[in-house]
Amino acid sequence: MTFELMPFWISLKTTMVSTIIVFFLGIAAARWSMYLPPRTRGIMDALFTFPMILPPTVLGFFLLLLLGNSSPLGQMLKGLGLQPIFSWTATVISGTMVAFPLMYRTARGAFEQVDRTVIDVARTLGLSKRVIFMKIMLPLSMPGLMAGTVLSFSRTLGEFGATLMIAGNIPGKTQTLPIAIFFAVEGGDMKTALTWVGLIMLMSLICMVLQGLWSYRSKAVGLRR
Amino acid sequence: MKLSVEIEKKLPQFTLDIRLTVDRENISILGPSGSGKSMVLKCIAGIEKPDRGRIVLNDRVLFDLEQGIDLPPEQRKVGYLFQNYALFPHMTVTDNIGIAIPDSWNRKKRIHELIEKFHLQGLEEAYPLQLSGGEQQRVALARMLAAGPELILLDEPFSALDGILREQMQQILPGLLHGNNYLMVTHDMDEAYRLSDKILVMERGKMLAFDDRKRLFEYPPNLAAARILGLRNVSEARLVRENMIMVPQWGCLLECRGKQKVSHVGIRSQHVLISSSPGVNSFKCVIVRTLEDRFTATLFFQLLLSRTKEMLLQAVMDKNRWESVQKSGKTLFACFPPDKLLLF
Repeated sequence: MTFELMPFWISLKTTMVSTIIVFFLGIAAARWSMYLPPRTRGIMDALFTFPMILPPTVLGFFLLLLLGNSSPLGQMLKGLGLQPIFSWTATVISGTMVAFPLMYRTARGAFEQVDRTVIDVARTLGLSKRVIFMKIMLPLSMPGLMAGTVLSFSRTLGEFGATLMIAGNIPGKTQTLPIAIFFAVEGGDMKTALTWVGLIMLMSLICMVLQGLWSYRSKAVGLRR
Repeated sequence: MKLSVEIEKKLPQFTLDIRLTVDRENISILGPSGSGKSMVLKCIAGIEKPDRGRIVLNDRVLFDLEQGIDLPPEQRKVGYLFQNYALFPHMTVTDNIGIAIPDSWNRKKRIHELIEKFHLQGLEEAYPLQLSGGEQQRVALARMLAAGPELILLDEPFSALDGILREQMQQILPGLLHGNNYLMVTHDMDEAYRLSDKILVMERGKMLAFDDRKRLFEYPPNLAAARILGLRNVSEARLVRENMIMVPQWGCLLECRGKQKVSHVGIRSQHVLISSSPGVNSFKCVIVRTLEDRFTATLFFQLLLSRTKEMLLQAVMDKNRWESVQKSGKTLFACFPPDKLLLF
């Protein structure tokens, strides 16, 4: 029984860890790129969004090249005793890669939506950039950041292509829910497939409800103008 | 407070070019919308960067292109009151004020003082959206003073307030800012006159005039400034002999004072007298239209001897007087007192 639930636990763990990484990484990247000169910013925007436009399989292919044993980076990691390919870490890497652009984009959007004059006035009041970011920018863009987090969570939960490419289908190790569904259907085991499908739908539903509750709450407090 | 500003900045529509020095005075910058008034304030506050020039506040150089000095806004000690107040919407009144106080030891005490001074008692835990416009403005002012600015910039401070509240705030503002000098941007002449010692008139980024408020309204230095300062009756004119000008558009000769060279003449509508008895510089006139306010009437009239009938002149007078003049039913005369004529 425990073995049969493994894809669920793996998916949950992978999605949680990836979402947390992406949350901080996306916010940091969005904040950093916001203060860049317009031209550099455009280039960074394109670069950070790139994983979103690539088909997941192609992304997985590149990751495989990059992290595989034959690449310099792969060799270096191997020297350090790390072999991410076809390990659980690989599911997190692919999840993070596919969700990062979503978080980055929504965070940037949320930051840019903060009233410019509020930031300007904060500066004339003598507040440091760090204080302005932590105490004004972040709280004011929280609804947007939460939306980005939910998007990232759902995207990671459904990740299939890139994960299959670099993590494979190792039951109990790298077999996530979407992959388990695919192989169950392929093997004609409709009952298992349906169970997983039901579970994944339930998780997505919970996500939606949580996001709905959040935006309802922030409206009620009157934070959004 | 001593301030000297000398800036140039290229804007899409025109180039901003401003030079002024201020020594312990309150200044208004007056000009039509889009003339670059707010940009001047933003350059002083450091929110925008001039292309050229130098800004010095109390011997501290805030900006100097040649020396490569450009202090960020957070180091300039210049308070800025935005038109929409820009309160932090997610913070209570207390937090809005508290975050601006640099010294954390006395923060509580200082917040309390400011809350009291700006009559915000009872609103300590309220959020900006729960406050009225006047309360929001007082919070924004308190927050600005909390940071201890050396100069205060006010960007159309009363435009978001209505009627009575606006008048109240205009009365108490100098007191609330006590001792702190301010530089205010407005497009309202009365506001500029009420609240400042000197007025700078600008249009399309250029300074048209900068002078003591009284002198400025009595003797505007040029026609463009005079128009912004509310001069409505303007015409071309030429000197025909000493103290006598010919005004072709009004079709009359007028007695005047001083000045050897004249290209234009103007008179404020408040200075034109409409009555039923003739006098110096008086001409028969006919009222074409009237615009009544509560206590005054604006009369649009033509001189009967005028050849160009399209030219309408304006006079403003007390409504009671206008009604009694009207009732008399006699021929009306428009009088342009020689000492009130503005010559350019």
